[in-house]
Amino acid sequence: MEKGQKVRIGGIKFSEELVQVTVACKASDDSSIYQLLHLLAEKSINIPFLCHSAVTSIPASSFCVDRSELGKVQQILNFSSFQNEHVSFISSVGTLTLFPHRNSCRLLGLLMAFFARHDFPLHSLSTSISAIALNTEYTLLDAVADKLQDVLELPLNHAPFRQGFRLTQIQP
Amino acid sequence: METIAVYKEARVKVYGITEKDGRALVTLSFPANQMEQWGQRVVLLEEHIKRFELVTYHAADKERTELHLLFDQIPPAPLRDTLEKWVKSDQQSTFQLRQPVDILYLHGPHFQDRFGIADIAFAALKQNNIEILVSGCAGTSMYLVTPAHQGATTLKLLTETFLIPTSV
Repeated sequence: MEKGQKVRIGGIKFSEELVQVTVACKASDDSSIYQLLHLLAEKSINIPFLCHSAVTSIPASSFCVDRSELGKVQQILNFSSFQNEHVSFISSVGTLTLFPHRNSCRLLGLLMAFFARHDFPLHSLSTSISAIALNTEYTLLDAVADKLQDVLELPLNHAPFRQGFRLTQIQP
Repeated sequence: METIAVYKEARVKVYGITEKDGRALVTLSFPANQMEQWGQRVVLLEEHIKRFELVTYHAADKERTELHLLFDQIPPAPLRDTLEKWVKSDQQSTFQLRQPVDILYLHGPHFQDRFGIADIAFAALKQNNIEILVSGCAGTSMYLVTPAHQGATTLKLLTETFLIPTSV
């Protein structure tokens, strides 16, 4: 691929409005993320995005939940076990999912530089089997997708996909 | 309009679980305000290594971000030299290469819409003292990076934890 040439992708999908929570531990052997995930599951809170790392001196986990779950998540984090952790919230986050990523370092680097150049916050990202999910401000999703067309080539007449329905798992 | 569908499973079903060993995990840590520069550098990595297996990125705090790149091969010496050169010129950035590591990934129906899936996987590994170095869960995918030589044990555990339908 020539330098400067647009990268071709198949499509863009937007999430609903989410909250991103980051829990950074104070000790390298801290395993409170395991307890946190368990408590979130007990409260039937879905986590559509999670990235976790424990390879540096500060194990940290960032995850997203639906904005309506914020109160329940805050209740859990007020639980004594998490008082010593550094917890931060980003209150209005949207996930921009681009597919396919083709495992391409070029696409990844281009996206990182793009977000920085245009002052679009990039809160977190993770790849899946074929897509790359990037978390930014929810209110900026349209602006990011619009500007991305400067560097990405999308199918003709493409419009970002917004899921018009929600799936909710109900505990019997 | 609301539709309710009843779906029961004694164990969470997955489409399959893949385990690969002998992979390399590169962790770059840099100030958030150097994102553009690091993005341009990541583009250049393609001169040395063609594809990644997994990428995750997040910030442990407001100033410092972490980019984790899992490669399906041990990075060639020129790539390591290039990364070291970049980090040296930055002062505020760090580069860590951990190899070999093992990676496991699984995909399941509507993982992004269902609660408790990550808890099931993380708890199974925790109970068996298997460390998760990096994990990325998005869409219907879950990726888990473990220390070297733990992939086979982790695969066995996950295969016992989740159900892989073997017939149609």
